[in-house]
Amino acid sequence: MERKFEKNERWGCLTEEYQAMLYRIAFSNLRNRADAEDAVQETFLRYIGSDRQIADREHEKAWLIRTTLHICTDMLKSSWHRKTVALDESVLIETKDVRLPYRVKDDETLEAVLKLPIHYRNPIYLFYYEDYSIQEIAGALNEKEGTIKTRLRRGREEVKKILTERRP
Amino acid sequence: MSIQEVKGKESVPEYRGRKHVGQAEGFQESLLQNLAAKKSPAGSGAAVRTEEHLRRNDRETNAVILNALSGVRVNAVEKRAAVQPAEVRHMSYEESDNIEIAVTEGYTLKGKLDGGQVYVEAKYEDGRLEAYRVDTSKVSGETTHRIEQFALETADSVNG
Repeated sequence: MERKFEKNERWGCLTEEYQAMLYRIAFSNLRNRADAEDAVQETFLRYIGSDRQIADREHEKAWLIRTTLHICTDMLKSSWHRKTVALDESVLIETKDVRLPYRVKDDETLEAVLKLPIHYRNPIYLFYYEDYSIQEIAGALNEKEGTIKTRLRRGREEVKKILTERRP
Repeated sequence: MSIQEVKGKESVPEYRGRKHVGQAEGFQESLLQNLAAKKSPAGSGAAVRTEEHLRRNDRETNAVILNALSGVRVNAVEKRAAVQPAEVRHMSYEESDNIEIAVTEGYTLKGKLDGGQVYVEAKYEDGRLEAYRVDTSKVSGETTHRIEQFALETADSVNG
């Protein structure tokens, strides 16, 4: 009972603290504004509805990222998502839709990152654009740190390939 | 840099750009210094001792850090008078005056003008996190050293 009360107490600042970050992560996966907003809402609903005890804020953050990624994966797998193309996805994905809280000098690289396969895209995006450590990413993605390091290295090579193919 | 990453360092494969014997020991030393500084409460005796240690071994440590940089293709290979090692603050992007996200090179840089110097924090693909303090008055405008260039860009972005 006490645990539930603490969770409800956190609710107000929780959305304020994580909403923007979770939206960016969801957008980097779904590449669609409306779906990303749905995924974030669903994440918060699952958080408030969950009876699972979360030890501290670091675990809370990791839980929220992990849940958002799971929801994104489920949405991408759904037949509705596979058979339809959102209106704003029919045109080129614009990096401004990611709504980063800082200015990115190189939009081209961010666009290339958003085109990576999901298993490279998430570690690269979280490491470079959300400034997470390898340890935090490993916790959020439920992978070993070595796996994340490998994906970062291979993902970087993939980004180079995309950029090389694009430039004449 | 997290404690877990430091503990797990032994399992990290040797970085392919590292060519010289002794760099691994030097890198470990800089990591331990950062860790000691992080563990110490601000203003405590331990923190002061760490500062003294950094100053005493200034020349040696500086060379070590710049050597470590060469492993991620930043063009720093020799000792630089303007670049000094510093304690890692874990500064966020929002707190920084200037950031560089170099995905294709495997590192990020964050800079903040602090007094007359620029604090630069570098994060590398292999998990290393290092910090430098750059005295921009000692940096030539034509420098090709990436950390020095970045410090100048940071100072320029703040001063307009």
